[in-house]
Amino acid sequence: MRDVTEKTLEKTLELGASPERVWQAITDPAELSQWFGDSAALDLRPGGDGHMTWESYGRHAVRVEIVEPPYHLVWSWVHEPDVAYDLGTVTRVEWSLSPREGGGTVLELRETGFREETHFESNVTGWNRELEELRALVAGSEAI
Amino acid sequence: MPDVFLAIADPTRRGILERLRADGSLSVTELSDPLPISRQAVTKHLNVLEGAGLIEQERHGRERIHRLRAEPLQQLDDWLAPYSAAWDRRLTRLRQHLEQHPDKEVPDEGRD
Repeated sequence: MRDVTEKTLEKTLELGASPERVWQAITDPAELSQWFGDSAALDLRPGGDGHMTWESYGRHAVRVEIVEPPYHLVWSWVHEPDVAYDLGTVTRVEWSLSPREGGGTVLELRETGFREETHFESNVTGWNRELEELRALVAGSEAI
Repeated sequence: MPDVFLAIADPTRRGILERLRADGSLSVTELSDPLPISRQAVTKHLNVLEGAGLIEQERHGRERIHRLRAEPLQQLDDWLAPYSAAWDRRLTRLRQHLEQHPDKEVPDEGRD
């Protein structure tokens, strides 16, 4: 385990279809609703909103971050159903597509951000900054 | 025994675990030095971590030395497992979907 706060989910899948075809399947709401959930919406641009919805669970808000067709797609989504994007607990889903030798696509999926990793990192940054201020303040005397 | 999730919910405690993982055994003084909080506050965090079984303490003269115990972190992996299984199911469905619809046209009758 590299970092106790960083729970990362990783999956790799080899597919017979071209990256362009796979891109279509993971970005077109009409296709997403056939294999991902029961319905979907995705405003395919950085900052764009969307959702992934299961009739039995509810609607999970999505916000698009990176769109680089047909190789790289990143969006974050809210863990809790039927909660507005800004109010929920968010994890980040990264889709990387690469052409497979001899045809097809290698799809790598990573989901990160479980357990508030970003919160942790911002805290570390905060500590570092505060520590520098503390160092300046106590320069010449013993800290704490 | 305090819950592992509760123990790691606090960023200071996660930072302590990370330092013990990276640096091995450390005293309270060594753990407190980079933190903008008092040694007493660090000791409180260490007691929570010890209660959850995530660290062990050992006396060396006047100092207590702290060491990471990673075994309870297995609970986090167990917690993540259902999410992992959900992605397995989705990706299996993606594969089937692509096999059934090799072209970009998606037939309407396939939709719910």
